[in-house]
Amino acid sequence: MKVINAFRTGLSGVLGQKAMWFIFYAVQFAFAWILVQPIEKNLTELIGWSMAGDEILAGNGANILFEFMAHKQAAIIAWSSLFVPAAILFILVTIFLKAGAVSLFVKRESFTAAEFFKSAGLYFWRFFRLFLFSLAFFAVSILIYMLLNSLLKSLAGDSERLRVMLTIVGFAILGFLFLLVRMVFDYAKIMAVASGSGKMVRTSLAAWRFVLRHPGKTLGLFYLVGIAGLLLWAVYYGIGGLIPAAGFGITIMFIWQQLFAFSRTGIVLWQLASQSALYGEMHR
Amino acid sequence: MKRTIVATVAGIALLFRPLIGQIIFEQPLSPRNANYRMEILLDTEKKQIRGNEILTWRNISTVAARELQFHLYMNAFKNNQSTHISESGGSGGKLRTKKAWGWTDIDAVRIVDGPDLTPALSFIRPDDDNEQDQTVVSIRLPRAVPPGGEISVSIDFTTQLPIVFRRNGYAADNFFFAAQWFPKIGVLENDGWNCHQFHSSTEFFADYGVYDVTLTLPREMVVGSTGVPLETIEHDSLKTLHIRAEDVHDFAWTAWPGYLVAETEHNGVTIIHLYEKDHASTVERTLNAMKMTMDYMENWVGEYPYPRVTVVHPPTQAMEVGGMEYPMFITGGSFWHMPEGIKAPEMVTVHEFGHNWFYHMIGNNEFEEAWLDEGINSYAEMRMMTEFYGEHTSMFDIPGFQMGEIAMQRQNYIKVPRWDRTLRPAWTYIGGNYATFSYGKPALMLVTLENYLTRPVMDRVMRTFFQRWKFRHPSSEDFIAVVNEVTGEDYNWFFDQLLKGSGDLDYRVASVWTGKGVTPAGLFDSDSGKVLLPVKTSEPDSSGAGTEASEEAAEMFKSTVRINRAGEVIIPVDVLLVFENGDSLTYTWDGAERWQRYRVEYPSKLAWASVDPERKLVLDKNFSNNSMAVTQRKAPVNYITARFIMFFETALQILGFMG
Repeated sequence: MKVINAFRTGLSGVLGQKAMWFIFYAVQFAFAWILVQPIEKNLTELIGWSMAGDEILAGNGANILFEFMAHKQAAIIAWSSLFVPAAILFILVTIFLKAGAVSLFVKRESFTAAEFFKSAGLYFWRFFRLFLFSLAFFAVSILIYMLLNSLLKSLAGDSERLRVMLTIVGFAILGFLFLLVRMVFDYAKIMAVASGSGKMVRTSLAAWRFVLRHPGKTLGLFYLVGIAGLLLWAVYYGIGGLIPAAGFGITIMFIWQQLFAFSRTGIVLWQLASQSALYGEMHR
Repeated sequence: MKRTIVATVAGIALLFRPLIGQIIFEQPLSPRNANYRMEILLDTEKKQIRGNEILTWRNISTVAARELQFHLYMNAFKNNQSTHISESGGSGGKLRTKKAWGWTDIDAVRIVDGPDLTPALSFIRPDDDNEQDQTVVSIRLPRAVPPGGEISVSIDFTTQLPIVFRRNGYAADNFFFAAQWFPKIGVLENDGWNCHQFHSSTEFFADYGVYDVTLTLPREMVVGSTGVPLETIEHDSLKTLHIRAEDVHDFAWTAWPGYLVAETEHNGVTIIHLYEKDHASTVERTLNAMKMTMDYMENWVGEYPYPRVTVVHPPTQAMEVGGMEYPMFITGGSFWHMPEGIKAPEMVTVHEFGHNWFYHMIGNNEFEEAWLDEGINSYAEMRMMTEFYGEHTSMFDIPGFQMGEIAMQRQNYIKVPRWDRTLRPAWTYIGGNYATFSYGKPALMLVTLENYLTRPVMDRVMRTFFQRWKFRHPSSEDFIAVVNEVTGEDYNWFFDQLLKGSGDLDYRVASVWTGKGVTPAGLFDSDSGKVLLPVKTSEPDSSGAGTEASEEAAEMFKSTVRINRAGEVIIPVDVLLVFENGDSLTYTWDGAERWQRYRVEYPSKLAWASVDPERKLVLDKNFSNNSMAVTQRKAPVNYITARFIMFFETALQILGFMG
């Protein structure tokens, strides 16, 4: 029941914090919009006045795709150098915003810009240290995957079928480990706020202990929200495939994409909110 | 009946083993001047092939042969100083252990019923000064073989197969693939021996003949090969296969206990498919591609005269032997449950089987003019794949992405269109661009030629070329001569630019403008003196895009289109002007000058203009600039931009997952 309660509480928590939800979405959209500008400029140069663009709308864009890569090589290289700093900056901004969000969820406070950004600033460095620790665990996950993969490969021998199947199993295990690390460090963030502690190594270890003591509840809640995300994804692709790539359809497609991106951001927040609720309920 | 295996004759013939006897074909299809009788043993422990070959060679040149030159291709894998491995960066890849390297030793050679020639052996390097390269050996003869003369030599040899490398060798679970595995005589031309070293980007060249091969190996082996198996004798743990191939210029084979066999008949030809069990899902796809290729090539250029063809899908541990052509024997490739929308198994099957016409029956020199088989065969592949699987879907037809053959062939070429020319020895292309300039560019050149000549004329060209030169060694000049003969015109201007030249092809619309134009303005004489007409005009803007006329009601509109030839290559090209009312005008420009302007007056505004609107010139390196609209076309850019925004939002959210 605690899981279901947390699931519900998390949902209502997110729905009640729409302004915060919008901030998360807007930041993500802004980064994407900045990254796309050089691409749009080069595309306009290449096909902005050309009838060749119609091939893309007809689904036969391979020629144009290859021409874009062949004739805009310099632009692609320049763009690639923009992506790495943008990605690092985005991670830092996300850590900052999550600090504000977790604080509101744990303290069960309503959103005000002042409180949100004050908390974001207050917990940012603690969350940043947690992020650095989590990198080590992500690295360990990759190491485990690599060891496991070589073991699975030797088990498969020369059977192609087994190789493919065991490769899928390997990726599934890697995915599970990544999600586990991510979930543990979500709880570490929650515990950091709840305890007010500045000792992040201790908080990380406590988070691992918490998850390992309550694997059913923590994993159950995590995957319950994950299923909601999968359903959302299915609806998006099911309906998105029906939108024609022409005329007003392009505008509809864009709106539909952004609705999905917005909802997806909500799922991330829902996970944080429900985990905060679960942690709170278990420590009541 | 060419395709009839005369089984009874074969049985009787086995008793006598006549080398040049008429066992498969009633009449020879080729000169049959390089004939091999081989007795060989596969030593699965040592990964060696040991045995003897008796080569009966007839001099069909106009010069006397004072020596014989042989390829020992396997010596390319003997060490990292060979020309082959040096040219590919000096790394032998996985060739590390003593058993991993490959080589061929001639243990003894003598003239049949004549003197021992072993002391007369010497390695030669006709292409470079690499003293370490042992891929060509010369045998000085005690007496020259005159034109029309014949000689038989007996060669004892041992070939150590490498661990699977460059489509050759052995792999786990007793897998063996033997290609270029025996001492193979070069081609004596009127100006001497043509026997090149084995380079990293060359294939082969050989005379036609009969291969009569007796192969002994473990009895559990499933064997596929060039030729027709005539008899199998089992003894203890071994078996001996007697295989015969006529009018071929190579003999390759594979043996592996794990092969499954699918067999079908088509047009009187037995198609054998050897595959590993995990490729069962692509058996039908592969066999269908074989049948369709046979039908297409037979209708297009000429008959497949052999009674049998074998297509092999190698197992996972030997994937590297996939995608290669040998006479009557090809290798393809697939994966477990390869999705239907990925046409790679079909493409490789169509390509490699197509080589049995262009490489095998047309026996060009692949060292010196690789385009004659790789380019022509890629052109054939392009035509077939497009016809079988659709213009835009012949390579990929999966949700969200479709790609046809022409787009695929263009993708490498358009990055480096001026880097090299097609007609040059295969080992001399710049920067490893062998594939681009011997496959892609000539294939696109031939599509361009077809579009220029029309398909029926091109079909006559290809059929004439094939029928005239099958089982011979044509050159590029022979192909050009056929084009000139069939069309009745001189097409050297075309081949000089696109085959022998390195210029690029790029026509583009430089500017379009439409409007009412310049109405009369200024002072004009009249009976009452000078009359002033006010200025009302619209001019093209600096970007080349049009500005609208101020008076919509005007009945006639002036439009101007400027076409540029941005590349070096000159080919006549169509120019299309399309108006807002749907009408269009078509012109043909010879392309000789750097630019051409079209000024028209028409009762509708110009909507857009296009040069080469039907994309006949598929070598054009940039299709995007082939058209220009009067007003900006935002929809495609918006569409892709929206998709990229979504892509980046997803990528960022995944990154944010870590934060």
